[in-house]
Amino acid sequence: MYIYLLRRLNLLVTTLFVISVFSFSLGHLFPGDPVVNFSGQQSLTFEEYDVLEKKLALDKPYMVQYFAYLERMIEGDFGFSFSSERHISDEFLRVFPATIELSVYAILVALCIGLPLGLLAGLKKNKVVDKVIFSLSTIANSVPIFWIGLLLILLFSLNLGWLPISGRLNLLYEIPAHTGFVFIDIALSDIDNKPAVYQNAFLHLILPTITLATLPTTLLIGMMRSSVISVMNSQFIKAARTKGLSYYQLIRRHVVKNAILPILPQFGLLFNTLMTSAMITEFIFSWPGVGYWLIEAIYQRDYPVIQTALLIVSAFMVFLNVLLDIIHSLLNPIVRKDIHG
Amino acid sequence: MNNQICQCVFYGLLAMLCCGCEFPADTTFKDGIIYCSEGNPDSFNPQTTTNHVTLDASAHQIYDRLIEREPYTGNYLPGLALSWQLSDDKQTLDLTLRRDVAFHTTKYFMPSRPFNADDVLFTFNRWRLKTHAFYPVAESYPHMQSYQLRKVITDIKKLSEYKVRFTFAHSNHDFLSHLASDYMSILSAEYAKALEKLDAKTQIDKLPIGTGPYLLVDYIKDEYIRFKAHSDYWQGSSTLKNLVFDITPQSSRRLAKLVTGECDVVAHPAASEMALLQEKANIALQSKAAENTAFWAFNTNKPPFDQIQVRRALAMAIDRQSIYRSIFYGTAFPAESVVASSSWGHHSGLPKLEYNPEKAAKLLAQANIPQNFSLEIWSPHIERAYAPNSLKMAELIRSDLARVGIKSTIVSYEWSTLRRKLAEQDYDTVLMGWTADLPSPDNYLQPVFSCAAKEAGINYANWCQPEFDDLINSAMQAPQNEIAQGFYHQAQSLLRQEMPVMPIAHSMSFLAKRRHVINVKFVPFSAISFKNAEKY
Repeated sequence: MYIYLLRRLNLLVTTLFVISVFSFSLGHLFPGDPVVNFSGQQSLTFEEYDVLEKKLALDKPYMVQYFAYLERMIEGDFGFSFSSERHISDEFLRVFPATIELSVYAILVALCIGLPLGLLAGLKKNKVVDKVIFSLSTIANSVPIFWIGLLLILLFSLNLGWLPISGRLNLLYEIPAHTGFVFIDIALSDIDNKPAVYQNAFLHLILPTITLATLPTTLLIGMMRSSVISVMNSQFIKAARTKGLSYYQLIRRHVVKNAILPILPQFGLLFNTLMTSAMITEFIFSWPGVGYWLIEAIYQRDYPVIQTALLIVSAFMVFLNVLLDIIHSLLNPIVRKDIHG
Repeated sequence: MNNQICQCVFYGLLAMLCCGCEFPADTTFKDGIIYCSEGNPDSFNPQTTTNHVTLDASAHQIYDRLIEREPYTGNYLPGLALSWQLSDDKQTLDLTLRRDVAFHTTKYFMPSRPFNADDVLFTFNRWRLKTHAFYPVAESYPHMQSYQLRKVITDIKKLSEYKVRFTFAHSNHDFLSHLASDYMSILSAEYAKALEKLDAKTQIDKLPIGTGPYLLVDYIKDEYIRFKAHSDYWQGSSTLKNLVFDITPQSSRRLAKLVTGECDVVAHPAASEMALLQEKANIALQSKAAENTAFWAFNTNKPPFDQIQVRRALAMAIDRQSIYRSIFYGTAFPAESVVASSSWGHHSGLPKLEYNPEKAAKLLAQANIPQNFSLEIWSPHIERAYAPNSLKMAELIRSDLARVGIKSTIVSYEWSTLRRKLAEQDYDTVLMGWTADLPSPDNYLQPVFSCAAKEAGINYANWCQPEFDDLINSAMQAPQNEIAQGFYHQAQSLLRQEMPVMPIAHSMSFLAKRRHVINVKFVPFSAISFKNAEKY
């Protein structure tokens, strides 16, 4: 077990190293002066420039510069944004909860819809229900997400006028951002008429969540279906059947748990697709999250923000993947054996 | 058991969706307006910019001016100044100021006194005197610099708490028109003093304090600007409580938000969608005459664009007809001169710009431009009144250039980034334009093409010709409009000759709003104003 953990951590450290080297070199590769790119401060006097160059260790060899950079990253000192002239760390903390919030809702929706449908399809293998579910999920899987988003906007917002198309809340509601999570912030605020505000936030959430949940849902359906099929064919199910368990008991006690376990490690994959789709979804619905922030930064050639956003997002993904691997190995001893094997 | 939970969740969600009809009446939407604006302001001080996004967000929302101009008659009305008296020799101007005008009280500043002469002195001295503590806070003061107002005003004196005297270097009848322009918004001297103590001088342009109808609450870049009504406003507080600028750079998105009701008013609806808007019963359009010019500027500092022949040849290679058809959809007039045809200084005698790719190719060859020469076309990623779709315009120009054997690359920047990059002066050509903010015709020439404008960084052709400066100076000092007109015509002929920019179009500008919003002030020579806006 310890060796397994060590290996995973080794992977984590190596990947983070590569990412940080890449991000560090961006500071030099982007057009303009490295001092400006790393600090994000554009209007500097000569004295300020010298002080800053020393402080960032940019007058030293690359190796020293890199370690100074690493130290700053670990301390959370990412410099300033070119265009807003605020601390990048503050900006990040403002946009990150929005992305997490949207992703969590999307994952919940995907789990609530994907797992039962996958189970159903797997149990009714090759019957009409299975074919309908499977073909629908294949269609949904192959349609580009930005197209789904626009289609939903066209139908529910422009034609029917039911749902809003942008942001997290009508801007006339002034909710101070304490946590960055809309529903918690509304609860903490001292605004009147809270039910109306909750409803407004909920309406804003529907379209982005559906859009973002589409891809993970179809993936989950596919995974769950094949996993259920393989479980249903295994010996212990036959044994349980011959023992006289009812169909319902059989599924509840044996199939669900055993079918979910093998697909757990693939949740990492789910998160990866989720993160990329989240960026696109945020852009379509002007959802003020990391993706929207990054894309605007690219338009504005805001190099410090691009550099930092890439670093944080990719580091976050790596962490999450390794974490899921470890959790999975704790829950499912077979994996550990395989690796030792 | 499971079933019960399911039912609970289901009905819970259903309740959330449906209970909208049972809420007590929510007045939030009635008391506020959302304006979908097209970009990020670069500060909240009109003095420091000619960027209309900034002017829209600040000039008439946060500030007031000493005098105001009636948009259609051109008459002057009292603003923060109750009355004014220009001396007979037109060398001094005495202003009597209004009493009991309150500055904004915000989270970041509590004023202790009303507006008085000190505020006027501070506002003007800030950009006028290079020794002033706040002069270096802003990078430039483009409007004042391009008109060289620093040299025009020799002195500003406080005669009493509520009386101010301006003294001019020579007789000046045009100064009132400057005073009424958006750039002359009045700042608070007391706030400046407080910031100086805190050593936070740069804050003055970012967290503004003014006397205007709204005060700034919050600005999040790329997202929104939130204003609240100024409760002690001297003209009476607005009927609205909140005003929010929802920053939405894409025009299609703005339009969609207008249709869904997420915006009450939108800036620059796309010309291509005008017909669609007119069909909608609950949406109204407001228009404003074509007081602007779109042009393609050549960086005359950079070879080969320093050669007149090259600039003329490039202009000759562009088929402007196709631009009118596919970008303006009939909402623009072809521009032969940079001065709009609605202005009395417009030179209508200029021949039409010739479109002749063969001749252009020949001229380019004569100027020793190699085959496969390539240039960059910079294009702002924003809709302006004069450029509803800059990127598409750049693409049309690129295909026209390809026909004469020139390769071009389009570089698209977000608006404030573009302006920052242009200041570095390392570009080939840029699609730009100018919206007039004073009624006088020199407003199309002085701030855009003069040598002073080049220094102030708003002459995007970087073109400086003393002969041209002399012509517009003579025009401005001419005692009668008829004489001035002659000089303006000569100046325009010179521009045609030298072709620092290729004029493209004078475009009508539009504002689309939902019908229940009224009294949004959208008039020529002024930024948008929500002072009297109402919603019912």
